[in-house]
Amino acid sequence: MLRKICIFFLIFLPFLSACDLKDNVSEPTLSFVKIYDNNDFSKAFTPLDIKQTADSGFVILGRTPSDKSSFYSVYLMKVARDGAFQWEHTSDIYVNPISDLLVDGNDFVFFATNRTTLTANLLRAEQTPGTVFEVPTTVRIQDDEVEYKYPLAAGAITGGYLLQTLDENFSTTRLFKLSANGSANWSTGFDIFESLEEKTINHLTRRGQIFPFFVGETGNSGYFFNGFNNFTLSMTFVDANGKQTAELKGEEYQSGVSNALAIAGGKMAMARYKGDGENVLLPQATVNPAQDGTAQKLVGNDLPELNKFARIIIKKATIAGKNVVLYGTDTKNGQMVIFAYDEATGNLLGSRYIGSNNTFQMGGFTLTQDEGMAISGAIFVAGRFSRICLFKLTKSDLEKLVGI
Amino acid sequence: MKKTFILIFLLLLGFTEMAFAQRKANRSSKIVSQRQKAKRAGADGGSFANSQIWLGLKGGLTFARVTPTERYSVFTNTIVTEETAKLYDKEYDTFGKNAFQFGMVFYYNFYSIFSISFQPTYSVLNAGYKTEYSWSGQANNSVTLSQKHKFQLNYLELPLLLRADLMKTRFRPFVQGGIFYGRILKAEKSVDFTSLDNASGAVDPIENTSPTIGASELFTKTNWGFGFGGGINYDLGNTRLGLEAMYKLGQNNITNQKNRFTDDRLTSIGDVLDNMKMQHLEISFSIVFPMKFLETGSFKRVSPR
Repeated sequence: MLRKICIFFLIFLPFLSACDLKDNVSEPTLSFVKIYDNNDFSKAFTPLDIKQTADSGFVILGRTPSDKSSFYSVYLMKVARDGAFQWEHTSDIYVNPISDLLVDGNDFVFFATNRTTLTANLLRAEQTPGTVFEVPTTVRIQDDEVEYKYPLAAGAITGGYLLQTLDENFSTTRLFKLSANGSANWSTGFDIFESLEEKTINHLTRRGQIFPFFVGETGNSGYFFNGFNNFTLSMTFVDANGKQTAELKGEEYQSGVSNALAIAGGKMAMARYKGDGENVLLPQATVNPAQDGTAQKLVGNDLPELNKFARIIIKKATIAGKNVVLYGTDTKNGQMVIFAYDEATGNLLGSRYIGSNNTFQMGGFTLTQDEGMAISGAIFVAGRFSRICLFKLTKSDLEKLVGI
Repeated sequence: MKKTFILIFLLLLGFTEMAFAQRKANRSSKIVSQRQKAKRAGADGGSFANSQIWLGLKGGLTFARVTPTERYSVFTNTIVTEETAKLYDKEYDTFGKNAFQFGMVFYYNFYSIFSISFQPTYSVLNAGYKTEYSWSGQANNSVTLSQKHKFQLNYLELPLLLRADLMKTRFRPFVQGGIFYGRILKAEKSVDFTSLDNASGAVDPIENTSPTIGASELFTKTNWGFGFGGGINYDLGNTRLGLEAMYKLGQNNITNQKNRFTDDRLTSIGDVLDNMKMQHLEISFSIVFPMKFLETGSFKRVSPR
């Protein structure tokens, strides 16, 4: 009898324990959540973009209120591959970052504004030569030679950059094509026919209406910018030399295009907003860069769940062999959301909502070396303190996002 | 879950069958053969008279705590000092939350004072920890946010113990020790918030409670370990009453490491489980009945020497 009992247990107990506990291991870099806190009541941090570095960590570009001006200082943070905080840098000189972090070798470059001269500068967040991206005390941000006033948007294009600015009278939008070292290839002016000083300063100091300025390339040697042109906020197309070919007009300055990205088949993945701020996503918009049009006539997917006048990020990616277009934004109930659309058909493959309880706002996202995704956002801790958060998703999470 | 219940059911069925098989065999034997057995056994202490099986029920209280083996935090401070490095460490409760347990008691007194005991038990274990965050600035602007985290884990525990009676009188103190295997059946978590918001003019803390959420995915299905304890039995006729205490030390990490960050409702308030082990104290009352009887003029159970 005793023997039977013991044998019964000796067989079953190890079996029952081993199955569950053996699998209870996890690589800490695959999936994590971090909130980067600062106990100072007056501080606020807003992320704008995130990129993975050569050491598998992450660098986050953001902004933070400046003590020295009405603008927002450039803020950089570096974290390790498991999300552990490594260093941060707040610039005293440069404010209002207007581009993503753009990869340049092992460094990152981005455009920001000199707070004194209000001119654009191409800045380089530099790593110590020969080592991983880790600067223990300070980030060496150095100027390159770009000085144009009131910069509004910038981005990378094939072989260089595009930069959008306003002239000193706030009545002409200027578009510059820059080479990789920052020198100008050409520039073109677009008459607004009125002065928009108040609107521009309110936008730059974030005290009024925020306009979705952006630049990009069509993929057919042409370019576009979203900015002030001819009494409206318009998405303007130009040819390889900067000459205007078409204009997709907004409704004065009340509604227009939020973001656009050229995709396969000569189409564009776009987002636009209406006069009341509600948003429409257009993962397969047909836009003729040689013919004028009206943004409000573009038909897409109405998404009333999104925040009014939401900032919308659009990126292309290949996930589990599928070419997808990813939209990242935030919702009225305070969550961040990523939508995945099939690039070829425009069909929604899946969505992933992130965040609960506190309010979250999308900052930026990037695919990672381990086939996952890192999403940076702003979280309003205790309902009021804007802090940077980082969510790391796994490869499996992305496969679910695209419906695999 | 279905497979777990089937497995547990088969396990219990097997034990019950073993226990009652002996009793059935006894009852089905003829009176004469039983008397003959007793006569043979009585003189020289043969196996029948030298063993007894007890079966019954138990119930009582549990007091649990968890101890961290590796700490994790969602919050991390961008001002790196010795103080901020520990700012987000959880402060664990120590046996402050009681719950209950009940189950069956089976023990086989196989020789003299020694018994082997099996006590399948449904245990509810409550544990928790506290975290606190604060922000301060000029002009007495400050906000302090305290969170009291509570989680309740419901296990089916299967302990196998070796027991030794210290005396053979009506009052029978005993000690016991052995191993246990626990299978989680349910887990729930809730958070109580207390905020002191000087910046908004508050002078007293304000409390809020979050709804209780299912948290089974955050814990491992298994909790195994070692247990030791003792107690006292009192023989009331053929019934044995008992009062015992057992301390169980879990040996494995009960946090599911793969799912640690998967619940947005918790990570969004900065909560994530540490790697931890569980310890709990059980206080039980029991009542057990003997399964082996001698058929004599009076109804008398077998009492091993």
